[in-house]
Amino acid sequence: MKINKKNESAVQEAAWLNEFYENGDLEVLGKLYEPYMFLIFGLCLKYLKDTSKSEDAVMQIFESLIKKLRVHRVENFKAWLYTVARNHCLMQLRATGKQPEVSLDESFMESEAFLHPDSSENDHEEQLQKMENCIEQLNEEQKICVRLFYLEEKCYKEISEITNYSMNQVKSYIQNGKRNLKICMDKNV
Amino acid sequence: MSKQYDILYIQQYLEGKLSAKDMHQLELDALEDELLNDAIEGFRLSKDINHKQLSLLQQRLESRIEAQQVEKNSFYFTAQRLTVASVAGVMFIVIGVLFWMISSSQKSNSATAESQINMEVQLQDKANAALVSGSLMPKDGWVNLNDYLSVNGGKIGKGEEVLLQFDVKDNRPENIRILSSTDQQVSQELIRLLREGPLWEGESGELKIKF
Repeated sequence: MKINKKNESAVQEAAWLNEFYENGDLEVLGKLYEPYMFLIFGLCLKYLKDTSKSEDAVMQIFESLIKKLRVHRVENFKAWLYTVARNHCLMQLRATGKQPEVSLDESFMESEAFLHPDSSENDHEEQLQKMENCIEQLNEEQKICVRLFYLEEKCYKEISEITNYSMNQVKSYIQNGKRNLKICMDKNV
Repeated sequence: MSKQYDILYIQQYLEGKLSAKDMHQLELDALEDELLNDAIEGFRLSKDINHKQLSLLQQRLESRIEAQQVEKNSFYFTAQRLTVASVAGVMFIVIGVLFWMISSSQKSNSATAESQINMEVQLQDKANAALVSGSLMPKDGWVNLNDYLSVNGGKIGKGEEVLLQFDVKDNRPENIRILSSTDQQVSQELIRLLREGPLWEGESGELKIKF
């Protein structure tokens, strides 16, 4: 159901993107941008830490989309939008002389393959075994948090209550644990 | 993936109002979705965010789109419009060249007509021979004689007038005598023309030839 919905919206998005390439109609770009607007707003809040600056940035990013889409042929709108928006905020920080407090490597944590391993049964077994080994190699905090999150499907709040780590710690253990797992899995392929 | 979430849902998450299962799902999605992840962090950092600000932002976006709509009509050239414009430009040039060709050929037509008129004028402006006394008569008539003198007497300038006498023997002029002439060369040329020219009838006489 969720996957259907995701595909549906991706198909709709691609159609709108093509429409915009054909006629340059801002209304179409608005339709594309609007669903992401609150996320972009949140992203700007994270980097700029100022409500009114973030509001302006949301509009400025929309402006830069108009210009950039005339030059670039974009396939994955969402991923591209994320890059554009994040770069916009980082540029703004650099212009005002502030260094972003967020570590950049966070954005390299993606791994579709890790959560969605190949389908065949044998492979699946193998992958699980390998993942089990890799989890064993994590440090104690990461191991506990990753197990609770991915295998027992607890939320951050529950994990925080169980382990007595703060929410932020839990989140960072899981993010780092996930990244380390991916590295470990890729190494053993 | 995060499309199914909205700001209210995220606020509920941040306030801890969601079920543990829903929170886990959101966290799982956020780990796969950088944009969602960053957005949640941003909203967590600034506690005073509400959906009113978001609807204001949506209004700004709408008015921005409307403003551009007007601007777009005058500034945004789609490939289609450019094609139409370039075709129109080429057509304009072709039609222009056609008009130019037509008018210039008309001009050259009128130029030939003019030169034809000039020719006629020149021909009208021809020599005229008249009998002063005696019994001389060109065999083919005076008109043909005048034509011959006009066509062949190109070397003789306009306005020359010569008075001369000659006898006719075997239809050819003989013993041509210049009675009055302004120019020796004109006289010689005229004698030559008469000797080589059309045949005559009669015996002798006096001619006045005007050019």
